[in-house]
Amino acid sequence: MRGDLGTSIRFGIPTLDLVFRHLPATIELAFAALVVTIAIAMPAAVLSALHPGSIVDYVVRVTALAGQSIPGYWLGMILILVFAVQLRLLPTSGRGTLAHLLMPSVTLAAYFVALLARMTRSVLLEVLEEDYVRTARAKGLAQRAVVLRHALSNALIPVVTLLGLQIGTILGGAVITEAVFAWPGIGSLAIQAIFNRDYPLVQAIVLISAVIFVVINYCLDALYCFLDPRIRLRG
Amino acid sequence: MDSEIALARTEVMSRASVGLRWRKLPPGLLVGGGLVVLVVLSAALAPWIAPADPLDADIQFRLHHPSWQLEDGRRFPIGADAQGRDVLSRILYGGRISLFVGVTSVLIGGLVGVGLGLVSGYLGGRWDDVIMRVGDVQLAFPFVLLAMAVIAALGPSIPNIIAVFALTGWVAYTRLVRGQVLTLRELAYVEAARALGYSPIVVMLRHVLPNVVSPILVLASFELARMIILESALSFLGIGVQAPTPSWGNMLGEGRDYMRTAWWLSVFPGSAIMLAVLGVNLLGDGLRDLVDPRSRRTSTFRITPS
Repeated sequence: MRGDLGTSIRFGIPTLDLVFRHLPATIELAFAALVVTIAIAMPAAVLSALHPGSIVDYVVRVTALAGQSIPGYWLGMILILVFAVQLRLLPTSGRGTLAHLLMPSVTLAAYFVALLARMTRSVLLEVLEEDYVRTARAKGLAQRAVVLRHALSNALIPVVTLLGLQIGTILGGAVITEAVFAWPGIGSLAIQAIFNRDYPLVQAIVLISAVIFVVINYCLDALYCFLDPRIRLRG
Repeated sequence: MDSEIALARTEVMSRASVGLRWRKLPPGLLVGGGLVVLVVLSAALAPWIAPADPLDADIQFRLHHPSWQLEDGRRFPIGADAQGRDVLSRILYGGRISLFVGVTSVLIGGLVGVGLGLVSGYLGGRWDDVIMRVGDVQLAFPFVLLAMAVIAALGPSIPNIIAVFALTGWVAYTRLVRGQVLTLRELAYVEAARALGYSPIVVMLRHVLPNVVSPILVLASFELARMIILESALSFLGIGVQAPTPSWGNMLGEGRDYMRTAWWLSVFPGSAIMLAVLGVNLLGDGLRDLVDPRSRRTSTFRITPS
């Protein structure tokens, strides 16, 4: 018992050093995936919710359902097969340029794009029925302002809560995505550690992941205050 | 006599209403149900419909491309793997493993989770505190990492995989059931049952549980989809179902090494996973539309009798 997290059996250096050395790559991947998720899911959800029953709505819903049903690592393999092996457009694996980041982040994002699009769509459909949206329309606001200022901002709270609960899934998904694309993050480190029976390292990675989950959820709680001024954090 | 007539009448009526319902079911539910039936049947009937033994290796046919008829009577409808085994047969048998692991872990995790949720919600107090705090701690650990770490420590056998999945899956049920029970507990008929002197166990099982069954079924179907993907992911990484037993995940793991030369090893097992998971997800979606009036409003389907 020394209070640190021990030394890696395989690498012979403190496990925390190893974890923090690999963490930036995972954060880079997760952040890129988050950008991809929001950039695709939000517009899709808004279009879908504004025209329920339309062809756009149908396409979004079917694509989202399919996206939720594809195992991420298989999507990664298919992307490699198409874009790296056949078309030779993107590198198959490794980290470095933006081109290296493209396929892994799309692979990791796929499930969350689907999830976020479906969730935002259903919340938006409910919010659009609310009185304050009707009021906003009645006072002559443009559609754009009604949707962005009044509907979407009120739909964000449940959506952010959902994303917070998915942090663990994102970390887990990162493990598998990193394995497919040989991305040098803590996911690859975890798999290496497990195959090497490097238990101190496995423990350190699992513990740090749990800490990350808790910290991010705390930050999201703080974010609620910005999203909804009625909410105040009191210790 | 009268009772017979009454019985016959209710039967006719129920058959008529079933007929009506069938046509009114949302298409997603039907497609999902169809897919699930297809996957379950093909797994259950694997010994009879598989063209070959899934373990029967023949190096002569190593990485043979898909072909319906070879000169010597053998065939590989969707190709052969690196050891000359028939991919189609392996997918059919692999479905048995994937479904077995998924269904058992959902059943065990569901039973434990629902039980704890009932106790937590109905009894409250210290029980509630302990169960929910343990659940919070459980949720803070990334599911995949935890499952990987525990399986790596215990050894990758199928019972171990099921145990770990059940162990990490119970929290979702507990949270759901607890939330529902907290509102149900205050209702008059529960209070009446309690006033009549029934023990908490009887009240929980006979009067509270039946009212939570439908959301549990919906959650269980989504959990099943998740478990199938998770099992395949662990097997893909090499810490799930071990070779030579075929599972969709470890087939993809083996196929990854031959991606450049044998595309069928990567494409077909993944399609099997996707079809199975899509079916279960569609089924869950359809079920939720049926039982949850809030989500029903957003779909075109309505259950109210016209």
